[in-house]
Amino acid sequence: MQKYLTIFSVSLQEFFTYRLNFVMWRIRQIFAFLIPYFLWRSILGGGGEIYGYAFSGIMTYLFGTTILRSLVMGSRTVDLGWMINSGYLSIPLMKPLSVFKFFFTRDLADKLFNLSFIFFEIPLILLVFRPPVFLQTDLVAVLIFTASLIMAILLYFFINIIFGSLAFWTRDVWAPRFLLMVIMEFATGAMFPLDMLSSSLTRVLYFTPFPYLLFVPLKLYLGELTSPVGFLAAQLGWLLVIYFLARAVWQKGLHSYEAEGR
Amino acid sequence: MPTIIADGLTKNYQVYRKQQGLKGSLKGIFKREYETKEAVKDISFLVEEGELLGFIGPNGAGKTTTLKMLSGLLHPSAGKTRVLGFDPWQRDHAFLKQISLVMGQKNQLWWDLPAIESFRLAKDIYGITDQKYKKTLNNLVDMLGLEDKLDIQVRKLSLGERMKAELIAALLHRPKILFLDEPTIGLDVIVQRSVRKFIKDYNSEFSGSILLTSHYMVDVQELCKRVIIINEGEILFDGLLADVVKKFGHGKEIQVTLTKNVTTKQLKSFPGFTKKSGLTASFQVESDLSTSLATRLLTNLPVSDITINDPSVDDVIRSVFEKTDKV
Repeated sequence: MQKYLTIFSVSLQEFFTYRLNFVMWRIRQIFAFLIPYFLWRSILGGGGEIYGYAFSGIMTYLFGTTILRSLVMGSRTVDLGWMINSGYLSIPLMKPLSVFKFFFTRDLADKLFNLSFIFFEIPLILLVFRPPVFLQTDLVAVLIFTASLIMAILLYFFINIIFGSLAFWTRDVWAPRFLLMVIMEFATGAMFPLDMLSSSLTRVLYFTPFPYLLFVPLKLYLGELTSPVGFLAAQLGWLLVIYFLARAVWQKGLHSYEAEGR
Repeated sequence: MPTIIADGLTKNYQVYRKQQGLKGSLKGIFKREYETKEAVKDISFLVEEGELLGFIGPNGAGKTTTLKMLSGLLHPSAGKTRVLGFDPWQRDHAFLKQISLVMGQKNQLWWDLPAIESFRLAKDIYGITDQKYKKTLNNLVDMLGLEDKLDIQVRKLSLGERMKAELIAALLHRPKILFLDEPTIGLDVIVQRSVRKFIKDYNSEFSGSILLTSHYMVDVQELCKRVIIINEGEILFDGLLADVVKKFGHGKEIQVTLTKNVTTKQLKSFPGFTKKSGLTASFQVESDLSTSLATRLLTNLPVSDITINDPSVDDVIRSVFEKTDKV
């Protein structure tokens, strides 16, 4: 256990040396909030509703996904592809530790780093844009949300493992990764609430794990889903599927690992 | 029981044969021809506890591939291996805690942090007690002379200092087996010497086996009593370094120092001419012909000095590789 705590602290130290990079990253995240904000303001700012959402509802939602993004999608496991291709993966492989736990610990350090910035950004956003903030008081909803959030974090981690593991077979890791990011911007509900979409489209989306990364946890927090337990169960199902898939892909990949580049 | 058992180890790689030029790249989108490269072909050997064994061979011989199979990084295509009683591929934590792999060109130290942070991390990863950690660290730092470099960012260290820090990090947990893959590659002569000295001292002070690969003959000569010569994935020789010359070295090497320049063409007219460097020329002939050749050289060439030696290990091994290449 101690070893992972040390890995956590060393990872944090490492991130600190890249301060400028990090500030740039946070600025980018702020834009990820600003752009949809101005878009929706131009559409709904004067009043009215679209697909059941007025401006205030959209704002609450956007504010929520901005925070959740940093928690769920702050990740360093994107490094996995590069580590495989350069042979750097050999280094953690040779240590008496679980490689999955190693990467996950680095992810947690990254999330903490992101969170600390959020403590500055949130008051700023609240001050300037005054989105209506909903504070959930129902304890059950909070617990359900927490469970969903933890599952979302793990789910995203294992998805990254799968995509990173593609590097075991191809050098082209960037392209599938990019495709994944583009799909996720849309399918996770980061850009807009998924229940704005037609029911047939929503049904298609639920055949993927992506809505469970941002949309479902946020909606559970807001208490806006009928049968929350049903959604939790579905999320758990996806988590198990992706976990076993990640393990299988990883094991198969290790067999093909050539540890090249010395 | 031997500490390392390699039995019929084989490793094949699929290599994509890219056709030349842009046309070739376009073709490669649709149809790729793969061929199988046999990096290691059915090699077997045993290593006892405490041995310092050297693998020597040209680039691409299969040394690093073998080492990677022994440490569990690569899955053998065929054959099996047991190291410290474990199957390395399973990568048991109990196994990994007793070995260490140092690769000459790849750094395990965290680039942006001072070396001491990486050492602390190694301490926690391997579960070393505070007492043992302090003792081993001080010992190793002393042996390598790295006292005031520990607080400097690794990226700011020179290549030689980085290599030394690398060695410390690899040895903090006192592994029973140390795999060194080309440890002196790219280092300047002085640092090479100090690294070699360190390895030798370490091997005599601490129990445990060291497996070293190198294509620098001097590494193997200075450090190893026993060598395995590998070329093209096969073991050509496994035994004492001293026996290499006996087995492969044929005859004698004659070196003459000339008083004035003689053309290579002229030198080639004598049997067994191998090389010329400045005013020195070398010849290699069977032992019974050596005296007659020596006499001929002394009579026909402006010679100021002549030596007759057993061929150097360097030359012998080179000739071993050349012979197999020709076959």
